[in-house]
Amino acid sequence: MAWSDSSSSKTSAGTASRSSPLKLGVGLAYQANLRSFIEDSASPINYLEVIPDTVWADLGLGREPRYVEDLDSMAFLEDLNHRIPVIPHGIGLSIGSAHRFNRDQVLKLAEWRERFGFPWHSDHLSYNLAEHEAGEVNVGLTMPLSYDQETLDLLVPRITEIRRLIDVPFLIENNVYLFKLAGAEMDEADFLNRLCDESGCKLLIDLHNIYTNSRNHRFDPLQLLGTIDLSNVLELHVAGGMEKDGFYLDAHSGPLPTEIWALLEWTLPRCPNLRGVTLEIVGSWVPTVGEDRLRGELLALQSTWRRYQPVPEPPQT
Amino acid sequence: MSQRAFQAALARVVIEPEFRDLVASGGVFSNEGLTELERRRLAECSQDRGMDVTRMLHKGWRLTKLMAMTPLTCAVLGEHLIDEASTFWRLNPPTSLYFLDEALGFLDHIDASRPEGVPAEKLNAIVAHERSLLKSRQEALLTMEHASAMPV
Repeated sequence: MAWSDSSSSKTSAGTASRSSPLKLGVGLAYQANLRSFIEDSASPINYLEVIPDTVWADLGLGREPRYVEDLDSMAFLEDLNHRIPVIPHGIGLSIGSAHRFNRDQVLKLAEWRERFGFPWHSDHLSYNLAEHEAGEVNVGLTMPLSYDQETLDLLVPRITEIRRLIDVPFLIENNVYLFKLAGAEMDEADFLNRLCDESGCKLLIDLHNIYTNSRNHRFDPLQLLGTIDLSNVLELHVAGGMEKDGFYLDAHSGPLPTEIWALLEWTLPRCPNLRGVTLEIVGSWVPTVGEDRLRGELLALQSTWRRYQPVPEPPQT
Repeated sequence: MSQRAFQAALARVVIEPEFRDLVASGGVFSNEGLTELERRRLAECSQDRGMDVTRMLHKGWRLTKLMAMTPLTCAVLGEHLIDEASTFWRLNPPTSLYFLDEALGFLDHIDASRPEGVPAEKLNAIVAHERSLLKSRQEALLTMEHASAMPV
């Protein structure tokens, strides 16, 4: 393993580097049809984020082995991990499910930590598994959690356990929601701040999720960002979306909207502990966007990253 | 306990159109374990236009599974696809992120339902062909000889 730490231009290797507070730079979310683009050493990416649930098959509770990996994908990722970090970003943990904790998935990720040495990992502030008369259902969407004390009480011990089992920062991603849960005890920023304080987790702030929510529910995204403790933010997500039936969707469907660039410019200098900005695009949209445009977006992200990270010194007066 | 019951009920609102209609119309359903606030949240969510879009995304996710794994069967079903898929979804709640088991279940459903207006001989041949392919993938997955994760 030989990752390049973009903040210091030093090459780090081995276990010590795996725990170092790397500022990686710009990452890309893995899609199988982007392999040649990712493999190209000239591609402007400093790390690859991968949804582990897309490169393993979960055979279900009680099955042994439970997780069967796609050998071809794993070989690709392990090879790439010699050049740049491969960082898991889960969708299957369903950390907010009240009826059970998906501990097997955490143990599987702990195994990945040994294999890949990733510097952090993340999952969503949501649930997709719920009880049902058929046993258990998977809604297939990131269902919203209520910003209540009861939810904090559910999440804090689980995150504490994750942090005990996997010795690198665990990031929770703010959710996108198309409907609101009324009567919440806390607003979103207060909930995220308290979650970090009480559990020790860090944040992955998805700027496109905030933008999507702000358009659909008519609020000022900067007002929300301004009340989140941005010192907890280790990663940002950026993406594009689309209109459908009067709603704006977090579809990861194309180039970044102008508004996302503006949010990024506002946020980047205010996150002192930020380690990376990840561009998300769905594989089916890659042919439409084109690799040249994708490369252009990544280069623009690199330029923006270099302008603000590390945080500039305050002006001398 | 109430959070478990609420999450289960909200999941039903997304995956079961009849249940969503029932809750939205103020109909009577078993809501034991829900607090007054959770009952109000459930009613408001079920009436929210955002729930329409959420349901559309959910159906799109399930339809993607079928079209990705059983493209020929879907093509032969043509205009009957959505009706058949809706019946299949009603009888088989989604249990996994993964595509393979759901696609095999859909082929079993088509075998049993034999939709009118679709050329039976052609449909049978296509279903048998796609089942054979998927079974091979399933066996490979279970024996780990050549593990291949399904797209999600």
